[in-house]
Amino acid sequence: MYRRIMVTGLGVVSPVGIGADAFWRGLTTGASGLAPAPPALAEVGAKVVAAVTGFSGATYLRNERHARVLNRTFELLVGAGALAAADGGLGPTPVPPARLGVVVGLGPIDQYTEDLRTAVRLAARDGGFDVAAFAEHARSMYPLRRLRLLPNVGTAVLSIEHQAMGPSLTFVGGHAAGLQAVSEGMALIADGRADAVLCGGADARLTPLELRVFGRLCPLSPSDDPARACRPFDRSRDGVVAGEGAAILLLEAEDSARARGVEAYAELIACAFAGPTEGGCAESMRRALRAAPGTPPDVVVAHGDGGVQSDRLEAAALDLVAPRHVTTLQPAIGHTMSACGALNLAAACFILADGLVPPIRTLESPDMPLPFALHQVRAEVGSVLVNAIEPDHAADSALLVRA
Amino acid sequence: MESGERRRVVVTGVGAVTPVGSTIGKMWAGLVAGRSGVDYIRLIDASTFPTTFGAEVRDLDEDRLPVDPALRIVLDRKNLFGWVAAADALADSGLLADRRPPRVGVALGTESRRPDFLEQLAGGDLYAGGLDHLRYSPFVLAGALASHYGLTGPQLTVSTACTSGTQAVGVAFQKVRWGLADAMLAGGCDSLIDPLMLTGFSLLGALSTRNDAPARASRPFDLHRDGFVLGEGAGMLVLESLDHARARGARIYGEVLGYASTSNAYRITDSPPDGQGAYLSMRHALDDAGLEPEAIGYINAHGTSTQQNDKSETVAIKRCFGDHARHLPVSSTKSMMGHLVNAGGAVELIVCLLTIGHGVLTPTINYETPDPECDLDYVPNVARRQAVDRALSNSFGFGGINATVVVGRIDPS
Repeated sequence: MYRRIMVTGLGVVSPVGIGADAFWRGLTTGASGLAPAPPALAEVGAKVVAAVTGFSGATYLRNERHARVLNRTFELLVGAGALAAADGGLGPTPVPPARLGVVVGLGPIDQYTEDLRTAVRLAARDGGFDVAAFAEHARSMYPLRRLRLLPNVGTAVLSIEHQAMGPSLTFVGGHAAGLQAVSEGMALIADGRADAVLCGGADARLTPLELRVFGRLCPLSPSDDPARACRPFDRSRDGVVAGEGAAILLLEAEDSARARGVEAYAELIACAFAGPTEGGCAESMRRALRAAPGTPPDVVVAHGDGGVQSDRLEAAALDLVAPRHVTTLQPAIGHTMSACGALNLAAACFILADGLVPPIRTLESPDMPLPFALHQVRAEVGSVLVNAIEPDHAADSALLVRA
Repeated sequence: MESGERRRVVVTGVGAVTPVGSTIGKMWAGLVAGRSGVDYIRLIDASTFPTTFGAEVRDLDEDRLPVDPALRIVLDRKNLFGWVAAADALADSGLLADRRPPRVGVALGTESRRPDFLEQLAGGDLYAGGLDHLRYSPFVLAGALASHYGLTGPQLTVSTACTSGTQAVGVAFQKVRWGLADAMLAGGCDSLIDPLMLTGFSLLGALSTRNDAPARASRPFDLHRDGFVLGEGAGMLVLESLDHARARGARIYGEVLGYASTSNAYRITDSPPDGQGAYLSMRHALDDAGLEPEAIGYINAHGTSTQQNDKSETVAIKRCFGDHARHLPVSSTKSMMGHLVNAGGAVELIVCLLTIGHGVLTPTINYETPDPECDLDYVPNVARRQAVDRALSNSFGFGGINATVVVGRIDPS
């Protein structure tokens, strides 16, 4: 059975705004979520970061007891999930519980929580570690800590909160996990296993440890100027700015959306993947574009992270698919890691619906001859391709068309 | 999703490292003999923890570990198990030796914690430079395997605790079924015998505390069960299309017939007494396989040896299989090797395939006192010779996630 797969709800928690509308308003009014990093992060080389501010995930919970198992990643996730469910009208017009799935891609959960650090510190002996002493101190650790650290518990909270009894799956990944989750959500609907799936990504890795790891894989910009630190595709680009965020899409079979009487933002027609080779991005885009043969995409929301190497490779790949417009969100929201692909898709939905391409606001002298959106572009947009690229050049792409 | 023709998917290679044997052969012999791999913990001094025993891998030869010194730094204990099981599965399948298909992917179930970092944490700084940026990554094994074996297909890391292994296989099955990959290496790895896990699961009250008789502690479905036993190990399978396997003359362990996952959407720590989510997981997997309940000849239960799981799993099996449940053998591998968490589902699926291949049901050991609420045929204590054409494996995880895989003999008589 062939089913068209629509995006019928969007939930976004981003450095430029909470909620899909605020996110889009931020992107199209020149807002920036980049700011000087707190000293602990600046110390490890992240002088500018894009953090989500003024946000508490617990306020989005229906059952406040679930707050006991939230970590920062889960907070962003349950916030975006609740916003997507509300935006997609799941409250007034629910999808049958057994037909609603949840698939998310998360960044690694920080395992080294304060209570663990304390127990370990108290058990430190002569540069080593005394297991018996640890066992003693561990007895007073947070009883539910194990649950708070299991990635699938965040997904489970979404399922319980929104009565999703269909398929459940949690990927933990580098930077493509969010798009992998959307791809899996699409497969579940196409395969008839679900009528709708809350899917996307959440990532909250703005910690000293994680940013040192991230910086080794994606060299960070040394700049301490939020207005100049992230300059994708610019000749003077000098590295990546780390960010955090979450985006959840309500993907839904067209028949289900029609039966519920909800409007769709866009139709998702392809998700594709390519392995870790320098041409990975070209291959994933080419595979995604097979769903619309012969027509170059109107807009590409590029990964465009401002990395010296990564931008060069992505630009070479973009040249092959010949889009009419290229933009990237990273100057506004940073590199949101596992969430980046899903956030790109959320923006793509608005680009299609509003015919507006947000600019790459820090791009002054393009390093490559591509149709970059130097200023906000108003255009007739029929299709938008989005990318998420891993540090090893493995890539995921997805193609949206007008609903 | 890039779409293709629906293809039949078979398993052509298996590898396992478990507490009852670190090769497929040794594991199977141990399971058939009903041997427990549970004992007092030796990896660390566990004498002061509420639970002092676990199921450790003790017979893994050094020469099976990767020789590359960088890998020996980057891969921790669980990932080394995964590496060995993957090497065994790939060698067993012969997939990469001849007519290598272009798109081979990896789907692994694992988690990001690094118990070997506790020492480093005690020393003050978790990140000491060097290769630490790789050591810390939860997806390091998928990447290392892909790079070592030149696998350029989808690379997916599933992290759903007790259901990881089963879901990794399920995801891989879908990729091969719909032509998104030509073959997939799929499975899971874990190691839970460490201060962090002993603490974390004890705080939840999930572990058996039968400290006077470790080998008798894991007793799924027995009235006096008191929690699960932490284990460690890895299970890996090679999945490919039936056509491809036949064309290259590969040995076929069995066909992956169906997969499903569901969510209880009930509570984070409890499962619903009516077993609804688990029931639907089995039901949907049967539907996916196009089978009636009567077609199943064996269930490898999640069977953790906790009061709640074993009761609600029994309820769910009875709901799904009706009258057939009374004639349907159900056993728990965890009675012998404890709970391998992220690896459990993959190892248990391998047990299902070996059961079909050998015509022997492996037992649920330590079954002494029947529980009136658990009244199925649990293959108590001794293995049983019985032909099985199709088997079903369950995994249920914290948060209320359920996953089921159905496998079967190729073209059963």
